[in-house]
Amino acid sequence: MNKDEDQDWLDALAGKPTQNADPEVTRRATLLRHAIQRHDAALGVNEFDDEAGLQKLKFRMRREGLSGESKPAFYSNRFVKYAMAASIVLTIGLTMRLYLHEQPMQNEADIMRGSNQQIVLAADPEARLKQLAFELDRLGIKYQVERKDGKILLKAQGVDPVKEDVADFLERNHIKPPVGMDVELDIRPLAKP
Amino acid sequence: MPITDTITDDQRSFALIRQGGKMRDQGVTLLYRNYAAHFRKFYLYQGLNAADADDIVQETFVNIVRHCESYQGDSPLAAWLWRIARNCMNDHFRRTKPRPAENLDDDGWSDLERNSDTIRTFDPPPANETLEDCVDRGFAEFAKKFSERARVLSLVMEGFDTAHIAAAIQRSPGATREYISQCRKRIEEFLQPCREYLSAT
Repeated sequence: MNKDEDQDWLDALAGKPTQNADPEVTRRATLLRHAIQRHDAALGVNEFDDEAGLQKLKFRMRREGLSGESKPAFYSNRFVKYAMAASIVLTIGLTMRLYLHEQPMQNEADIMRGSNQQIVLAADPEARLKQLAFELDRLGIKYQVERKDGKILLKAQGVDPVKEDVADFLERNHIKPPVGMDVELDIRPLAKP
Repeated sequence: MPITDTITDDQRSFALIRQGGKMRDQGVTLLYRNYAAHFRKFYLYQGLNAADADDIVQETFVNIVRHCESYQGDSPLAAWLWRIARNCMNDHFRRTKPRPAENLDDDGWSDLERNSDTIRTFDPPPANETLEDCVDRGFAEFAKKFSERARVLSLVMEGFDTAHIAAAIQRSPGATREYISQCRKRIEEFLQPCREYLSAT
């Protein structure tokens, strides 16, 4: 097999026209070409849905955070500044809306929960204390009231949220069930405009 | 399958992948359309079923994206892509089952040649076999025994040039030319029984 014959054979195998090639070499290569095509067809080489595969790949890339995300350097400083400014404005707006409300809020927003303490906002803190104390007495839950610098702190012990009547009390007053059995309520007046 | 200016296209697609963001999706789309079918064919030739081949194609592209920053340009991009494709397949075989021994090292042909007087024993042809049947059978046996060489012949058949085949089989262009020439010699051995049909027609 010389180099020219090799090249003729390769050209014929690739389906390229061959000039001045030995017809026998071309014939053998062409027969092999067709055999490979039949072999590939039998393997299912041509049964590839590349569009479906591509969509699947893109879905996986999104899921794994590899797609559609710019590199950190891609974010401009201006974008970061705008994002921070928007966050600050939103925080101030929400805080003001909460404190400038005229009426006591009859929803969960009037309870601001800290790690151990929950803040109860009320138009009349004393009245609210009286109402809560009355309910605690009715449930047989022990409590103490502390007053300091105009703040009222109601500390209750043995608050068992598993008990149905206690759970009902907590829910009606928008008090988060305690992790332990103790609840501390910081009853504060609502600021008026 | 026309292969036109693929290397330049690959570099463009790869640059988009590296860029990130929406450009990355575009780069992946272009690269996928250029390579996915070829990777899949490679896996099928290595004896994987269609479902596994499809999964490894996905894995390969995920790894290309994940490691795109590690490509330093010290080898052709196509060779780097094919290396990832091959590694993903090897990982699959490690996880599932070992590859058939005859496929582990295709260059084992030289050892076989040294240790055996008869490289191939020919089965008697089935009754009523035609010339095409004989060539089909010869190539099927060849592909079973030498999957990598069969794939190379298939790449030649598809019109890939030496540079692309070199990338696909992780060899230099010079070594690839020699390898292709050897492939021809080997397949001729497997097609020897068909000579009778050829001379009869």
